[in-house]
Amino acid sequence: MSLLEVRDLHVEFTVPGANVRAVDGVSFDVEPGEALGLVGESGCGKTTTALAVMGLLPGNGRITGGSIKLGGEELTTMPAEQLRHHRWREMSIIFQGAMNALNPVQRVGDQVREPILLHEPKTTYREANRRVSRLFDLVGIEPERKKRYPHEFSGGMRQRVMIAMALANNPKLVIGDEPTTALDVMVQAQILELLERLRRELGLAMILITHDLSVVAETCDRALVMYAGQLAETGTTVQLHDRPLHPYTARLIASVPDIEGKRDLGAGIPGRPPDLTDPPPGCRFNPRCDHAISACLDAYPEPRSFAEQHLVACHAVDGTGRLRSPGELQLLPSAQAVLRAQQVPEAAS
Amino acid sequence: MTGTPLTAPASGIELRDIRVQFPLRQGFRDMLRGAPRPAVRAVDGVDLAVGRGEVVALVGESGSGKTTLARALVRLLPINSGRVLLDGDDVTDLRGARLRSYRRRVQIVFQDPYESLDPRQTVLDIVGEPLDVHGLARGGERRDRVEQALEDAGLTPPRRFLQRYPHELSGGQRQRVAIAAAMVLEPEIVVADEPVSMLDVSLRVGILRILLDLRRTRNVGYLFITHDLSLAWLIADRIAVMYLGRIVEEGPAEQVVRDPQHPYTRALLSVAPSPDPSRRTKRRILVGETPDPSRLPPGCRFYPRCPLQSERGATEEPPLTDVGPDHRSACWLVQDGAPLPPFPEPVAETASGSPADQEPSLR
Repeated sequence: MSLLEVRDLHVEFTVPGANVRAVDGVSFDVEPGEALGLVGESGCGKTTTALAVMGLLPGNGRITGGSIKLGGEELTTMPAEQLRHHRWREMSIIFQGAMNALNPVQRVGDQVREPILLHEPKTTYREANRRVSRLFDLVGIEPERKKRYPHEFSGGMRQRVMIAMALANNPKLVIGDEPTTALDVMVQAQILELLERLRRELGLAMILITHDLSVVAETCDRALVMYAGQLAETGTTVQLHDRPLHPYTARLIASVPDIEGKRDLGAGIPGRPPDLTDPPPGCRFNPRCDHAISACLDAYPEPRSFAEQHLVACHAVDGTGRLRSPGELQLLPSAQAVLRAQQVPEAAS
Repeated sequence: MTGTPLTAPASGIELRDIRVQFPLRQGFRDMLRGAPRPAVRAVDGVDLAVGRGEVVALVGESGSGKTTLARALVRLLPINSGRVLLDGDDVTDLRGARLRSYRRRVQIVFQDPYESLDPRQTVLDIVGEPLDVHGLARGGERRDRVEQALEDAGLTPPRRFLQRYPHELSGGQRQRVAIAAAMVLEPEIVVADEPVSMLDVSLRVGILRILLDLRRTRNVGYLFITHDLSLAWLIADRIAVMYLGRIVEEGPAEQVVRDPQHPYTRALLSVAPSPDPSRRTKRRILVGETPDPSRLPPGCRFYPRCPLQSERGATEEPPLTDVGPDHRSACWLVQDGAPLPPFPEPVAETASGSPADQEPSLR
C-alpha cells in the first residue's frame, strides 16, 4: 500500500469576485521511503497541493473534490482535531524561507523541542531535551549549539534547524517546499545531501516542491510536472530527463543551464502562467506551447501512459508515445508565433 | 599586490587592487592603547576589467565580497584603496557633477525586483526618474525614452505599462522595469547583481536574453554577479571566481569550466546542479561555509576548507599567477605549471559527527 494516495484532488480558493481552481484533478502516490518531486512554475498549484495534503489550506481555500489517503486513512473527511494530531505525528512540512521564520529571541533548541512537547504531551522535559540533542546530531549540528540563538547561525545552519524541527515528531512523510531556493549552491548541495541521507537512514518519504528540475534530478526518484493546477507529465526523473514527452517538461529542462550540455541560452518559456480565475480553454498550456493544435483548445488531454510510471497529458503525443514535431502538426497561429519568437527577442513575461 | 600586468581593454572599466573595508567596533582599552582599529576586509585587493561589449561573470558565495565589490564599483560604498579607471581615466576620486556623469555611464541592476522598486511610483516615474536626476529629458522626449527603454526590456507594448505600479506586475516584469530604469541612461557598463536568482528558471532566459541583446545592440559591458557557476558559463566571456575578498581564479569562461585551476572552482563545479539524474554522484561538497572575513585564515584563504591543502598554503597566501593564456589562479599547487592534483576520496559522512557540523577551523 502506498503511504500517500492522492486521487483527483480539486482545491478552490475564493477571492473577491471569483473562484480560483488552483488544483484541478491531480492524482499521485508516494511510497514509503520514496522521494517525489512536484515541479512547475510559480502559481502552478504545487504548494497548494502540499497544503491540502497537510490540511493547512488558508481560510479562503477548500478541497472541493477527490481524496487524500495517508496510510490508508482518508484525510479529507477527518474531523479537524483528529487531523491536527495526525498531521504532526505522520507528516511535516519545511516551508520556503522558513529559516527566516525562527523566533529570534528563543534558543534554537527550545524551538525544536516545542513540537515534541506540544504533540506528544506524555513526553517529559528531560526526554524531549534528549531527543533535541539527537535531532541536532542527525542534521549535522553539534548538540551543544542548541543553546544558541538564530542570529548566531548562518542561513544553511538555520535551515538545518528547520529540518530538525520537521523531524521532531518522527514523521513518515516530510514535504519540502523549495527548501534550498534561497541558499548558495554549495550550501544547497549540503542540504540536499542531508535530506538524501535522512531519507536513507530514517526511511522517510519526501515530497520536494521546486521550480527547478535540476533540484529534482539531484534528489528524487520520480517527479510530477504540474501546469496551472493540472498534471502535465509524471515519470521517473530519468524518464523525464531522457525522454520528456510534454513540450512543457522539455522546456523546463532546457531552462536549466547544464555545464555538460550545449552552451546556449535556449528558448525559455514565453509568456507566463495563466490567471486561474479565467484559465484558457482546453489544455491550459496551449497559449505558450509550440506544439498546440486545434484539439488543445477543446479539452484537457486525458493523461496517457506509454511506459511504466510514465504518464503524459498532451494532444501532440501520438498513439505510439512519441511527441510529434511541430512540423508534423497543424499548428495553431499561437504556436507558430511561439516558434517564431525563439528566433527574435521574446515579449514580456 | 598586482603580480601580473593587466590586459587593459581599450574601453571599459578597470579595477586595480581595490580594497573595501568595514570598520569593526573597538574595545575602549585598545583604543586608549592606540591599537589600529580592526576592520572586515570585505574586498581585499581585487583586479578586474570589463570591456565594452564584454560579459564578465563574478562568481562567489555569500560572504565572498562580490556584492560589496559591485556596490563599491557604482559608488554606493566608499573604496578604501585602489584605483578605478573608466576608458583609461582615473575616476576613483570623482565628486559632484563628474561623479554624476560617471553614475550615468556605470549603472547597476539589483537582485530583488520586489525591494528595488518604489511601490508608490508608477512605471513611468520609476524609469523616468534617472532622466530627471541627470537632467537628460523632459516632457514628450522623456516619455519617448521611457517607452523605448521599456520596449528594449521586453515590456511591449510599453504604453500598457506606463501607469502601472510595481504590485501590479509579476516578478519577471518588475525585473524588466528595473532593467529599463538602468538602461534608460544608456550606460556603457552595467553591474548586474544576481538579476535572475529570485525568478523561476522558466523566466530567467527571457531576462538574460534582454541583457545580452543590449550588449549586441548597444555594446554594453556587463559585470554579472552570481553564485551559480553554470549560469556564469552560459552567458559570460570571462569568469572570475571570488573567495573571501579575493579573486582566486580568472579566465575565459569555457576554459575555467573545462579545466579549473583552483580547488575552490573545481568544488563549485562539482555541485553545479544538473538536470540529468544520472550525474548525481560526482558531487564534492565542501565542509562548512565561507568563514567570517573578520577572521581571515593566516595563509591561503581557502586553506581551511581545501580538499588539497598544500603545505605552503597553511602559512603563505598564494598570488594570482598565470596558468595559461589569459587564465590566472591563486593556488600554490599550480604555480610552476603543474596540473591541479585530483581530490582525495571524501570521508564518508555519517549521522553522528558528520563533517558538515564542524565550523571551518580558524586560528
